[in-house]
Amino acid sequence: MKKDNRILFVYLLLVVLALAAAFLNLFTGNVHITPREVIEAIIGMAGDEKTKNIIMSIRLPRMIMAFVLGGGLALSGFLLQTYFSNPIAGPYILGISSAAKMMVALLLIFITKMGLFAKGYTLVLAAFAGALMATGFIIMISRHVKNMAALLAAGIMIGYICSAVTDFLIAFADDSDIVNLHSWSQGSFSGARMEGALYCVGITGIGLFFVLLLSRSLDALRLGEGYARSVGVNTKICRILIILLSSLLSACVTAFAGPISFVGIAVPFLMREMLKSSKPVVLIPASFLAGAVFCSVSDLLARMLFAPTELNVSAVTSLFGAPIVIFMIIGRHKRSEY
Amino acid sequence: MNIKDVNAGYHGKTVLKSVNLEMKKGEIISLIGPNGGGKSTLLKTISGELKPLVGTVYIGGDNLNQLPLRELAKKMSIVGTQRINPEHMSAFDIVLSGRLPYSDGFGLFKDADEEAAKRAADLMNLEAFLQTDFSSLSDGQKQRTLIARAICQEPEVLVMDEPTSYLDIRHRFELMDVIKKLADDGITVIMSLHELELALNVSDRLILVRSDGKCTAESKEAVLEERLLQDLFGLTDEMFEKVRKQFF
Repeated sequence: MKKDNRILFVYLLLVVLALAAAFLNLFTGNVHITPREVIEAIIGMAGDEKTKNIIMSIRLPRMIMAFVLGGGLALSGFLLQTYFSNPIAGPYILGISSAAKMMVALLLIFITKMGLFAKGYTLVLAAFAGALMATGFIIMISRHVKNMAALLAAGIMIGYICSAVTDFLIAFADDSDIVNLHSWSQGSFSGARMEGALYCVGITGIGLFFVLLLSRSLDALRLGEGYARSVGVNTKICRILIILLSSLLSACVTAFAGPISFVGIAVPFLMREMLKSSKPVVLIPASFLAGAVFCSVSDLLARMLFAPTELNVSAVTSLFGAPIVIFMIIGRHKRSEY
Repeated sequence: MNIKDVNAGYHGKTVLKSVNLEMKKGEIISLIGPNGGGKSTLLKTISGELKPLVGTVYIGGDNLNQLPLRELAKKMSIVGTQRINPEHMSAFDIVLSGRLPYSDGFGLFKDADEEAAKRAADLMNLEAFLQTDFSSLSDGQKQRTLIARAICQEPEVLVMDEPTSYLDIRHRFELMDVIKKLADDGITVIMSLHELELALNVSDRLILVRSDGKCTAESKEAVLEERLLQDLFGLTDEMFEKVRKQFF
């Protein structure tokens, strides 16, 4: 297939899938609501109050959140892969999500102890601080350890440490906190509210905008730092921006939905293979859309597979994402790139 | 290009001392000297990758280290020795990436850029593998692709570190022809070369990089006649006679 046609085809497919996932998420649920009623509720036409409530306060915010946060996760993974020039880097595997989770858990417990209510942006800030901490630590290690496998192992260990601390915190928290913390710390879009969803749209939108602005620099970085510099890219500033953006995006996800695994690695990989391209300006929007589709479908499955019991979404993304990653490692091993 | 009173090195450790060199437009200059003597250090200083510890490097009258990177990229391109491993990039994509200084913010190229890339690819004879994935090319093909990439950047100064490595004898000679052609078009070429005979054949002048950190530019004749080679590489009289026989 010619390159441009292939790109067009993949984008069309992604748009169709994205729309389908969005509609399915709105139309399916434990309470049966017809598509007509859903649309009426969204455009604000008169309908019964209960239906309106289910759509506007439960399904729509959840759909929006799964969509934009999925996109954000994929972007965050894409950025980290560029930074470490390793396709297996991602916010979950490098322990960044877990560090963000730990900070959010700390904040939640601390704030509820003081009898206050945690605002959306304070959660994001706490998660952002945690994400930056973990990323900074990984970069520090990467200065001394050039071996990628060792670096990934270090990231996984950071993840374990942070998860352990979070578990301790949960163990000592009040019963009322635990209920909230437990489902969230496993990764879940349940309990999404419109206010939170709008925060996510704002933050992820800003993230996507700036990542797109970095396209040219990311493009140049494909040939390594030396060549990137020689075509006019300030690699120092570019690297700082990559870290800030990837941390912001994964922090936003963790703050609102908890840690979600494998989207960051599996989605950019799938897109590179499907598009047969690593050009950032092509890959960035595609990864965003594909991440959105991946998370929306995963959330749909998490909700519906064993309804009314809900799975955590990370279980579903792992189930689909991990085999993709294994497949990728085997493929690269065959080409002896490791 | 002009290098004025430059001390160069890493982390404050001086490798090259008080270097003064002037290079004219369209001149071909080769760096020769013993291994580990500082050829790469000098090239990195010339390309701006390494800031001089003391002194200034000028390109067309501007202080090279104060020039915005994008402006510098339009005046100078490099071929380095680092290995790269990009994914899903054909040889043509690599050559085209030399046009990034001229591209828009998204790294998208115009038709003129693609034409420039095609011209550079033709010059380096890449047709046979132009659409092949870069990662599956041979080392020699990769090297030629990277040289085409640097040419495609349309620089005033082309800096190459060991451009002949991985190239077989035919492609070495072809590269020398290309370099002469570029120089005729007014591009200054500065490169480090292992092969003395190539260096003597193609260069207008040679820069001798000595292991004690001194660099001087010399004419070919001076290099051969005045026993400079013997000093430079620390050759015994017997070795030097052998080398001399090859060139006279």
